[in-house]
Amino acid sequence: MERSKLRMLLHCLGLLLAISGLPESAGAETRPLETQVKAAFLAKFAAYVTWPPSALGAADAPLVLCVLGYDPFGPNLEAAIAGQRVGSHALVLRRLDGTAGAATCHIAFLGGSARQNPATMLATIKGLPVLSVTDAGLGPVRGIVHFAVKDGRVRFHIDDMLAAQGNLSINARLLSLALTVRTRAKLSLLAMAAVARRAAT
Amino acid sequence: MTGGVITKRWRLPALALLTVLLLLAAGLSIIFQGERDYHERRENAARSQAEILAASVTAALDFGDRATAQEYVNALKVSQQILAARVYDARGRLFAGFVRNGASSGPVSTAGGFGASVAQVNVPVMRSGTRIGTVNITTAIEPVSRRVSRYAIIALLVGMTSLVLAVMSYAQTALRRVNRTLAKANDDLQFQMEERARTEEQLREAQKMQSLGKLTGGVAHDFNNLLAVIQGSAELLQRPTLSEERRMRYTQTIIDASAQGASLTAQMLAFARRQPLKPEVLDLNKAIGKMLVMLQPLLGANISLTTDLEARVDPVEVDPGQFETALLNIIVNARDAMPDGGNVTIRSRNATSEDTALSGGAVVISVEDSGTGIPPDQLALVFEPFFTTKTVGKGTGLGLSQVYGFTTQSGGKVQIESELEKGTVLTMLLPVSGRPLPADKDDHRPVTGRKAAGRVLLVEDNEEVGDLAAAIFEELGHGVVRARNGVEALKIADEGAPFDLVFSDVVMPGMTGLELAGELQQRRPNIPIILTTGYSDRITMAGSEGFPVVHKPYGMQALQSAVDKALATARR
Repeated sequence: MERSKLRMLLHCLGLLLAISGLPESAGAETRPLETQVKAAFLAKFAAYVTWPPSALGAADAPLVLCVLGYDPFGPNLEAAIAGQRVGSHALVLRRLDGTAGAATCHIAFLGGSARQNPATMLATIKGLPVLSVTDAGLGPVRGIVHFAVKDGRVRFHIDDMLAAQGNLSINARLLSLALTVRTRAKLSLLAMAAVARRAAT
Repeated sequence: MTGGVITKRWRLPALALLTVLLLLAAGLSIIFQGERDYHERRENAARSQAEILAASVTAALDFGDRATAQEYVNALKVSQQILAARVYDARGRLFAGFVRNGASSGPVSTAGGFGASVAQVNVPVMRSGTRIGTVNITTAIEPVSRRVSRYAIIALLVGMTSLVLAVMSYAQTALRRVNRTLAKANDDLQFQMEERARTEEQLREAQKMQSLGKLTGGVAHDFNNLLAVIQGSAELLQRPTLSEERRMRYTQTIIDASAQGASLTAQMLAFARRQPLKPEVLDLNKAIGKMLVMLQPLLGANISLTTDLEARVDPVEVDPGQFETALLNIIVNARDAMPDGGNVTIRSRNATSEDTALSGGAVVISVEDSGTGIPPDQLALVFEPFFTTKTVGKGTGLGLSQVYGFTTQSGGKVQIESELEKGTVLTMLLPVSGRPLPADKDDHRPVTGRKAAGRVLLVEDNEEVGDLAAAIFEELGHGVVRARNGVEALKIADEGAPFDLVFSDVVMPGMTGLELAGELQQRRPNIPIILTTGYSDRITMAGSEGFPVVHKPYGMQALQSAVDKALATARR
């Protein structure tokens, strides 16, 4: 009896810990690894996202990865994008203080700044063909990709609806890796309904 | 040559073997092709599955999501043929995968080929042109035994065809062998037949020589006897003091002996089929009746002769002389079969349907004796020439052979039945003639040469025979002109010498009698011509062209009747 109670207690504790968020509870040694992984992920997202042609420009135009405001990655990001290419596009890194100039970005990590928190940044670039990336460790606001740590592993949520607003399409393979996906299905359902209504009249 | 034969002999089996080999090669190539296709298909299937997996796990591998990668990999478990599916990262470390029991767990190994039980494919996992890992899929391949069973039908076909070809070629070879054996047997048989024919020919030759020996013995003996009689009689005649009665007796003895000699040669000629028959329409009862007078003395006192003649038998057309000789031969044989006496019966009747009748009817003449009989094994031989049971010198063996020759030449048949110690019946069947009997005038009309006296042109190359003939003609009251050959005769004729008749030998050096007769007939068509010959082969071959023929040796009687007939015909 005692033992089973104890086990239940432990379970509840684990559950609580999981809910409360791992980054905070993770050890100090894991943090540099986590940052590294997130940097690597940032460099890899480009391969699974399709931008509208107008956003990409010339075939040899670089694909710009921006860090807006706070940069938790440091040199890790440089290391991650070194020599990386997406198709014919070279991947380049640009660090910006805020959303100013963010329109040139293709991927933007919303680090937040003193003047703009990630939520403000997200609101500012909303509708632009920019893959917004947020981090659960920096706030609850979610961009198109939202890093989260689960079971000690870096994972991410994807807001495909948001991506649709930016006229981006995200590869299904990437979607399949996401912890959660906010799909654009509703929209398509609405569109289908509209089509049906138009057909009826 | 032998090389050619061997080549021919082995051509068919070699062809069959070649066909079988070709079939085998075709079958094997089909199997090989099928096997390669199968492997290719398996590999292609595995490759496309690996490619799908590689595309699916790209993001998972990229983002290190083992769980998602494993999900994708696990989806392949549905396919039972996939033994193992593995995803390796860029450094070759296993990222996700499964291995079914029984599959090798080595990381990346290549396998393939005919006997392989698995097929492995490795497909790189690419992200934007960068290799980020490898997918390895191992698929099971049907076991060899099961694959082989799929080719069983091909193997069966090839096997059956090979079998059929083998059987056919064997049968053909066997047939050829049999044919060869048959051909050889045929050759052997042919050779044996030739050999046999040669042997038979030799045997016949030997028999001929033997027969000739017997003949010579028999004839020499008979002639010697006759010659002894003639010589002795002639010497007796030379004695100065001889009564007329004795002289007549010796002369008669010489005449008789000569007649016997003539009949002997006549028999020999008849046997040799060289004496033409002079058939006349004859009443056999009369002919037999005429002979009875001389038959009884021949048989002697111990043997009684009876006749049983049908009142009236149909006339037949046979040579009377030959018939008499035949009957005489039969009677003599009967006599010799009854050394201790007995009975001889001569019968005559018209043939009934019971007899092995000749078409158109026949007259049956049979002579039955009560003698010793003839052993059955010899019965078939009695008509053979020179067959005789008498000791050498006692008989010529020509007697019954003459009977046989006479009856067959006359278109009849001869039969003999005999029982040992009971006697023998010899039967002659002679065909009935459609012609009527001639009137008996010739028999009664006294023929005298003097009445028909004339001049005779006598053509004869043999001096002695010519002298004799001249003497006879002169005795008969004719004048004689002699010529020694045809040319001389023609010369005499051309000189206009008078003669009423030509009497010519047939066989002469230079011109033959027949040729002479033809020439003379052109010069003097009205002169009758009589031919004479002792050896009538020419006459037989060419015919006498209508000229009467007198056979040698001839006596006064024969000449007189021939001359009288010819002169009478000419005058008519």
